[in-house]
Amino acid sequence: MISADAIRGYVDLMVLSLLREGPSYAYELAQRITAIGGDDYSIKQTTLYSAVKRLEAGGLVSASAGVSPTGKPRTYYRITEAGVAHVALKTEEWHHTKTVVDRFVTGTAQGGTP
Amino acid sequence: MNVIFAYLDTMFSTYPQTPRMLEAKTELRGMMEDAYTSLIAEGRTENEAVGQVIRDFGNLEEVAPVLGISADISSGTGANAVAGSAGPSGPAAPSYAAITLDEAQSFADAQRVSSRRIGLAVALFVLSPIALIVGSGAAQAGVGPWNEETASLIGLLILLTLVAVGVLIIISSGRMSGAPQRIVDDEFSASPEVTAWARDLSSRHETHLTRSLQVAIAVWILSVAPILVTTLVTEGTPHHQFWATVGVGGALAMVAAGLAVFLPRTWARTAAEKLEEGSSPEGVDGDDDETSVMGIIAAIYWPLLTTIFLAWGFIGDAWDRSWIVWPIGAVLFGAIAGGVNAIAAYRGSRR
Repeated sequence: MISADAIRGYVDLMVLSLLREGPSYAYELAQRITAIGGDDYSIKQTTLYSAVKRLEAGGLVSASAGVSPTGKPRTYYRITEAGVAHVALKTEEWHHTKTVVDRFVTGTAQGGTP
Repeated sequence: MNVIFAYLDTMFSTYPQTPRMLEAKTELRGMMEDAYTSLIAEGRTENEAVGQVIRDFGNLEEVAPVLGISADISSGTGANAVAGSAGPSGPAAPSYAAITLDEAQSFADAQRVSSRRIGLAVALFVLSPIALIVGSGAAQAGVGPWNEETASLIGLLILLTLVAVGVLIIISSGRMSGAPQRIVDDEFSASPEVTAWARDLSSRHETHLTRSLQVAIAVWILSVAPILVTTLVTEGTPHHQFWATVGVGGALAMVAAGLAVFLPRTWARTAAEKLEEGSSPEGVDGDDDETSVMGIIAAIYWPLLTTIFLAWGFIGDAWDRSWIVWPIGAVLFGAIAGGVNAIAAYRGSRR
């Protein structure tokens, strides 16, 4: 299980990536993140809610009031154009980050072989 | 579901009710409802679902800054403190680190073991005079190999051994091995998460508790049966007196069985009350009384009854009559326990 601290910086990217596939609401996002995360990561509801609100405040996601199939009020979130651009940027950054960190943890930075 | 809403209310109670905070509450509430509904649809029990939803909730201090609310307001309550972070930011009276769900869990487990031991010990106390009563009765009637003195001596030795074992068990159960020491010592502050969990635990076991009390009361009332049967059936036979003492032994065994069924079931409520301590300043005063009242009554009541029975039997040489102490005592105890439970239920319903 990945600790909440370790993955904190990437929750926004995870949410945006999911919203790129289509609009969704908070619980569905949490459920999909937990389903995709499997045994490695399950997101807390407050973590997800904070991420969505942060993205909304940054203009990367837009919220609209909707109704659930059972008639309950529900807020739907949709990725904005700025959000799509942000995902592309952040995805690239993530690949770079991963490569650089990998170089350290596998020891290749020291010139040694893994 | 009500546990979930109560939990959410408690979590939000330390924050200012700004429109954005209320919006957050509504949305989080919706998420929790959705999570609960889907867990139920997956076939989980109500209690499992509630526990899971509360575990998955997270930490409001994470949300507050996003909504432009300072997290400082709530940090003094230690409401969301994780293990090890004491959060003693307020100048308020001794503030201990908030209890964690893991600690609460291991305390409840220890309480369960402890209650089982207490049930066993009390049952042993009640069983302890059986050998003495039946042995003396047998010797008086000329049944069995021993004369009256030997039978009494053996009976007394067995009585003292069982009482000693019972006392040792009670002492060892008081230590609550496995429970976090600071919980046993009351050096913790309640947390909304654990309070909700504890209430859930208690209500989940309430049915078991009530059912075992009903079984126990039935057994206590029926405990008069062995005496009636043995005295009526053997009426006029030479060993009539001896059979009467066997009946008394049977009655005692049934009383002990009732206690052994009922007392171990009290653990969830006892644990929950301890874990909730100080969590709800409103109305906590009267609430932690019931179990302690029951505990005190049970702890004094049964040894007292045994003493009355033995004293009456020995001093008045009234073994043929003194058994009446048990059925009357059992019914009385049932009535007291029922009354205490009714008061508890009434208080609970007003919450």
